[in-house]
Amino acid sequence: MAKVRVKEELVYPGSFACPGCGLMMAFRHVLRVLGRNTAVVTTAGCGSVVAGSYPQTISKVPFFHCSFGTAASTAAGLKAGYDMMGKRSINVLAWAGDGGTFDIGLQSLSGAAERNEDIIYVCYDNEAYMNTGVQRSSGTPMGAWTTTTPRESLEDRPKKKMAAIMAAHEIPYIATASVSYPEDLDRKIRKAKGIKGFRFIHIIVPCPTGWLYPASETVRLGREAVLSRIFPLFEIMAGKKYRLSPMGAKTPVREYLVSQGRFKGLSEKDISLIQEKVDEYWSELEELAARSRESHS
Amino acid sequence: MSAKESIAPPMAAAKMPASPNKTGAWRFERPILEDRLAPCSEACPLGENIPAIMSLNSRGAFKEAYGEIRKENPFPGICGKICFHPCERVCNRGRFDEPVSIQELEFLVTVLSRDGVSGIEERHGPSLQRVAVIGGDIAGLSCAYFLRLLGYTVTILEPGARLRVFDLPTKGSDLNTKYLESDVKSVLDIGIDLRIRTTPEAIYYHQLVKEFQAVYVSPGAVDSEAREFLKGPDVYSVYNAIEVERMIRDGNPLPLRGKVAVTGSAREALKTAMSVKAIGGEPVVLVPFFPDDLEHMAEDLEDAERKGVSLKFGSAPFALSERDGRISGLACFKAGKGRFLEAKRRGPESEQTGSFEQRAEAVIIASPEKTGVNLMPPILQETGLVVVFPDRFPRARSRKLGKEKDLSRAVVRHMSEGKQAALSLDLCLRKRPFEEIYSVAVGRLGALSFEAYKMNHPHRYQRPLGNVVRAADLNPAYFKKAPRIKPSSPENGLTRRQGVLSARRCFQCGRCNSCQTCYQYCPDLAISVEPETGRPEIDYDHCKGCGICFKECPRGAISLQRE
Ligand SMILES: Cc1ncc(C[n+]2csc(CCOP(=O)(O)OP(=O)(O)O)c2C)c(N)n1
Ligand code: SF4
Ligand code: SF4
Ligand SMILES: [Mg+2]
Repeated sequence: MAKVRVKEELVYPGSFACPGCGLMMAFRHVLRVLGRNTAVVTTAGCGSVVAGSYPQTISKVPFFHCSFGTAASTAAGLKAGYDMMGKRSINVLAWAGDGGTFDIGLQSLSGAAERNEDIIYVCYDNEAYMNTGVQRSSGTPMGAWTTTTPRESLEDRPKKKMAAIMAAHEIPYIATASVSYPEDLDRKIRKAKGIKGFRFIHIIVPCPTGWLYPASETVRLGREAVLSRIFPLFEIMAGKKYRLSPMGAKTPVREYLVSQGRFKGLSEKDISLIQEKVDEYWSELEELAARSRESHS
Repeated sequence: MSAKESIAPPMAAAKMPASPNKTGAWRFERPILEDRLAPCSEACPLGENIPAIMSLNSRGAFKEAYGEIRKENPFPGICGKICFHPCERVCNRGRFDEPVSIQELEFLVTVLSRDGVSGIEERHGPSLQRVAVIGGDIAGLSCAYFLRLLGYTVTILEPGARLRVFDLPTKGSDLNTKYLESDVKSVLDIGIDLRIRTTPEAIYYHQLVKEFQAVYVSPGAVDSEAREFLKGPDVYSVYNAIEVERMIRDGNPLPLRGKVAVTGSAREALKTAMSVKAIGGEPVVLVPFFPDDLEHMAEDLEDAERKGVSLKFGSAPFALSERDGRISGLACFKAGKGRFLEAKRRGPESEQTGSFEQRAEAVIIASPEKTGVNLMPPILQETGLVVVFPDRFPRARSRKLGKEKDLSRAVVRHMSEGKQAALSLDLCLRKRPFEEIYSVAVGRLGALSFEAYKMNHPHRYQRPLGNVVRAADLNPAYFKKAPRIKPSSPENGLTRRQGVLSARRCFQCGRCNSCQTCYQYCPDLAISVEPETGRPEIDYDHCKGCGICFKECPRGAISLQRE
């Protein structure tokens, strides 16, 4: 890995996040790139809990806790408030989990995106409602165990394609990222920072507690997710122009699945079904990227 | 309302940092950042710090790399051509694609930057002491080099018309006269006196003792000139089994009366002991093994005992002992059962269960090279002259270095032998126990680190034994396949550019190179980076022990330890 210059960290140590928490890694990188001139809005979820409980905080920048599912609208309001105060240069970051984004936050998110509010919305995706004890969300991948999709009836719906929903809003910038590729993540946040309007970044954050794997494997899984393309990395400019950011040769998804307890007990048939889905989505993306290249060259 | 005025409604605001929460208390495994030993360094008979050398090469700092090599190896030019490069055989990169071109780089570095090592260390105590090296072969020169670096005044006494190192066969081998000459020159250039055509009298004990405090008898000289020298006082009662057999056969009277300690490979030792018995000695055979290990020779053992040879099992000699300036016997470990050889290499703290002295009038060493017993060089202290013979002496093969089939192995072995002799001699002059030498062992294959020794606190090299970085300890996700670069012609070797690229292929096994991977990934901000050096530092107040840094470090520089 090439050097990432050491910038000021805007997060204090001492959070109550689980050992090996992927979202902490993501939060730290996002804030570091956005810099001091940032205010954060978060909804209920692990992201708000690990931020510290009153009177403590892990954030060196203002951090606003809003009600569940309202990150986008609250952030938009905060941004408007700052604008009214003449503090136009402040980056407002909406920071929400997959539950708070894919499910209950969807309408406020869609509204803010449709209005092209000038905020950066980052969904840290641990693929379930982790904070309340691992319940499924529409970000939970097919075949995964959660407490509400127990072994007897595992999640059988594909993961919602959030990026496609956001692309339909034709917002200026959408990107997916993984904590295991901090350089790529940093680059995408930096790029988002330089754009005006609604920016949506979707980061996969492995969760040892909910995915049932040893804490030391977080980075490896975040990498396997990308390499296998089960969580493909790409950018969408103006809702149309797709650019892939593959991080290496495509690997079989099996390796990713078998190292997590939540996928334990999947049959070979299940695995190949998942592989098919992965392949299908990846070739769709490849096509979209190819088409974007053609129409822009 | 002015825009400056607060428009926020009253609400609770947390302003206290979370850092006073000592989440380190959750931890049950502690990541430890500590350099570990690269397998190449362990395999290198001279214990070169290969990752450090590669790091310099990868930046094109060839001169500095040359200096780094010369910290452990007086002859990079010779090695760059003829060393059997065991380093490359164990190179972790070899498991990934192809080994790093360690040897070709050594050669390139030598070609690009020959000039001596500066900075002769003036050690407080022995710096004024004078040491003679009898015999200018590879081991003699190597010993002289390291002694000089330790601050001694060193004189090589060479009875011939030129240094015998030039008798090495340069025809029909890769050993090019040019590199041989320039390596030897750069060794002498650090300030070593050379006397050639020394008369036999000049190396008489009585003569040497007037001028020197210590003498190293090089392997090439042991069986020839040193005989003269040893005509001095009657202190020399250590024999080679082969020599004993020969002398008994030739009818030479041998002073082998009284107790004679015999050690070496069990079979050879038994044979020699019987011969000693036959001429009236009282042999005691010291065997590091137990009868169970020696089932295949049960009959021979019985036979020997019947004939009055006494056998001491589980006795591993590690040094000659000396009383009143005479050899008084052998100091031995009581070896625990099994794994003796390993215990021996690791030194006294390992599996031995105590030690004792086997008193004897004379000591015979049978085929020591086969046993791997790393015998302490005999140290005779009469009248203050310390005499160090080559390790594992007396070795019949030593003399015929140049004729040995595997010139490469022999030459390199002599380089490391010279280094060990220099360190032993220094320990002896400083009245330190010989066992201290184990603290600068580079891994467990026998190489010693001069650099660690000189620093006098060898932590840089003193890693837990067995803590060599294996391929499985590395994280291959961080490396890209890149084939080894082949020089366009083997004679010319690599170009500068190729050298840099070749060195970049090194994984830097076990050596933190400040890549910051661990820092980037720590979810708890418990790793910071020292701004000057780029070195990570772990904050144990907050480290929860998730183990991500340990798993992700590309080069295995972080270990996990149970709390
Ligand atoms: C309106 C409302 N409904 C339910 C909750 C309970 N609740 C708190 S956190 C959470 C789960 C959040 O899941 P997600 O957004 O995925 O974040 P994570 O905890 O996984 O980081 C829920 C359901 C709430 N706080 N408010
Ligand atoms: S990769 Fe480098 S450090 Fe590792 S074994 Fe090979 S040469 Fe030595
Ligand atoms: S990850 Fe990089 S910086 Fe951290 S210990 Fe390993 S080599 Fe050093
Ligand atoms: Mg979640």
